[in-house]
Amino acid sequence: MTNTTSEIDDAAATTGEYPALNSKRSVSPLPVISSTAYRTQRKSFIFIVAAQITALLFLAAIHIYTLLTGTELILSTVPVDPWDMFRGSYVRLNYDISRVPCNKNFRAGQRVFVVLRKNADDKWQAVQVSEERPPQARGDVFLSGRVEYSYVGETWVHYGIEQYYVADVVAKQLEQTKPRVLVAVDSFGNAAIKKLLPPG
Amino acid sequence: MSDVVPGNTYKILVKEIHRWQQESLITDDIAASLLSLYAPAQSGKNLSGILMTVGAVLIGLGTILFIASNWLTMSALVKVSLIVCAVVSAHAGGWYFKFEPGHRPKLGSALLLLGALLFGAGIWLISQIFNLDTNFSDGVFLWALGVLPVALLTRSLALGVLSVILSAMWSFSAPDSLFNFLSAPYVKLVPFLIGLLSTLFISYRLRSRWCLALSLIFSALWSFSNGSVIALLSVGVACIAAFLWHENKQQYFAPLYLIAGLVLTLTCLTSMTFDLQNKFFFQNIDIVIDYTLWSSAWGLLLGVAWLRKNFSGETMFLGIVLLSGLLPWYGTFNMVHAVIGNVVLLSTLLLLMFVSSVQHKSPMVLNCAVVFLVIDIICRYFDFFFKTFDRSLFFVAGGFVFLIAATMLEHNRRQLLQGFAK
Repeated sequence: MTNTTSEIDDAAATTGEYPALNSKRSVSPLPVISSTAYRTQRKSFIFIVAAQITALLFLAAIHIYTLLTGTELILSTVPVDPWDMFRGSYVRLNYDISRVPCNKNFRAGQRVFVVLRKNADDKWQAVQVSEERPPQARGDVFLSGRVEYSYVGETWVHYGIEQYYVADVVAKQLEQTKPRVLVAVDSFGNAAIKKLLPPG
Repeated sequence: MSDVVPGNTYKILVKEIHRWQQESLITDDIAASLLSLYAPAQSGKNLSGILMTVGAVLIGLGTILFIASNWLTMSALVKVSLIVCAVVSAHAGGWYFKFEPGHRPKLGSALLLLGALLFGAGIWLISQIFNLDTNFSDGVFLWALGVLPVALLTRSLALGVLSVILSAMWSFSAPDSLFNFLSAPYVKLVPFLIGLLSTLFISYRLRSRWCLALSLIFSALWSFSNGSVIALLSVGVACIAAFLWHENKQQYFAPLYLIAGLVLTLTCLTSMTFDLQNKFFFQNIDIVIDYTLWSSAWGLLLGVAWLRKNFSGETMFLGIVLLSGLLPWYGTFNMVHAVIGNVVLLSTLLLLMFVSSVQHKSPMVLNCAVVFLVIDIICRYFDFFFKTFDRSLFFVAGGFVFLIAATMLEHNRRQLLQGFAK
């Protein structure tokens, strides 16, 4: 007769033997395995779950590193208010520095480094874009990003700081204003949003 | 080893075996042996498993929606701790209930599924907390990467299905990020091939028809949305080649390959019988995608023939069907193409009817061929007579044609099916 999972379980409860995890499902009888093999498989399972948690924490850790160690800049924006199925309402931020003047073409998706420099109005401006990490000049900051599209004269760059998650009501209010954004930029050119500031 | 049959079927079997026993048609030993071949499906237990799985999915969806509503009152540290605790608890509970002796394996499976859903929700929640710019395909990639090993280790069907769905979603969206360094057709092809291989791997490792069915649906959808009818035809022929390989080796998957292959191949051949530029099937043509899949189907077909050491008539005919995939590229679509298309379709249908009635005695293949023959008759009837006849005459004549054709087909089909039963 067919060995159902519960029958195997009941048998295991009385005999102390464990069902093999690599047995076929459905109607084939579940063989039993030794407790050593069972412990090995349990260790593998714990390792996989630990890897999942590490991946989640790693996502957060990269960002926390940038926030803690980065140089602070204030960037001006033009926001719009979209919605994301998985993450709710967020403000889409378009920066002045997203459009970089340049004299060459880049491939869409290509990683680039953009040098920012303060102008006479004390605002950060994108002055140069290159494929290699630029040398750190006094007063300059560089950001890494990916090219959205490019043509001779202008390149649009995505820095990964273009969205800010907020409550629905706040998102609607922000849509009407042009907030400034306080960002931190670490030594690798990664940027992270610290907070939104009122228009200056 | 017993075959599990539906409860009602099992009752009929037991009743009939007892009747044969009472009528002395079989001995007690034979009756006992026959009864031991079957076991009734346990519907109550399946129901509890389904309810638990639905429960886990609802909790997972609820968590994702909860995330979407932006919970602002907690600090980032509390939020991250909550996510980690939820993922660990669901997995630990899942393992405990599923595999520790004397517990509840179905509840365990449901909790493992919940753990996988919470892990996915966690990826987007952490992106939300820290305003990370997680690309959709990167998020799905990470999610699939986390779920796949758990599915393979625990052999959970629900996790297997989730892994296949995630791999397919990633293949459709991957061109957005991970492979954007590749040039135009390969940026779509490489993720598709990786996704296809991983979904097939999961299906075979878990020995799951559900996973395989989803993999084949994913391949067909991808081929049709990124290539033309040639890509879809190639997937269909590849499925039939896979059926030929599995026919004697691994019969568990063979019927699924056969039905998918027949439906896809015959749909494509039917589409090539029209004498007009078929915009529906031939728009957004990417010649590299089409002919990569076309060459792969050839490779698979020849590989199967070589491994079976048998270049049979079936293999050669499948080759001819594949060659008809070149038809749309030979000049503009016109009446000559339509005539060749009709010849290929009709000879395929006739061959299928012959093979199903004489060699394999397969009602499924015969029914499939008859359905497509009827579809072809309807198409040709509309093609040739709609404009030439008066409307009233058209419908009256059509009615007669269909009544006669249906009667003849049904009569012959029944005769053949009765022949199979004998």
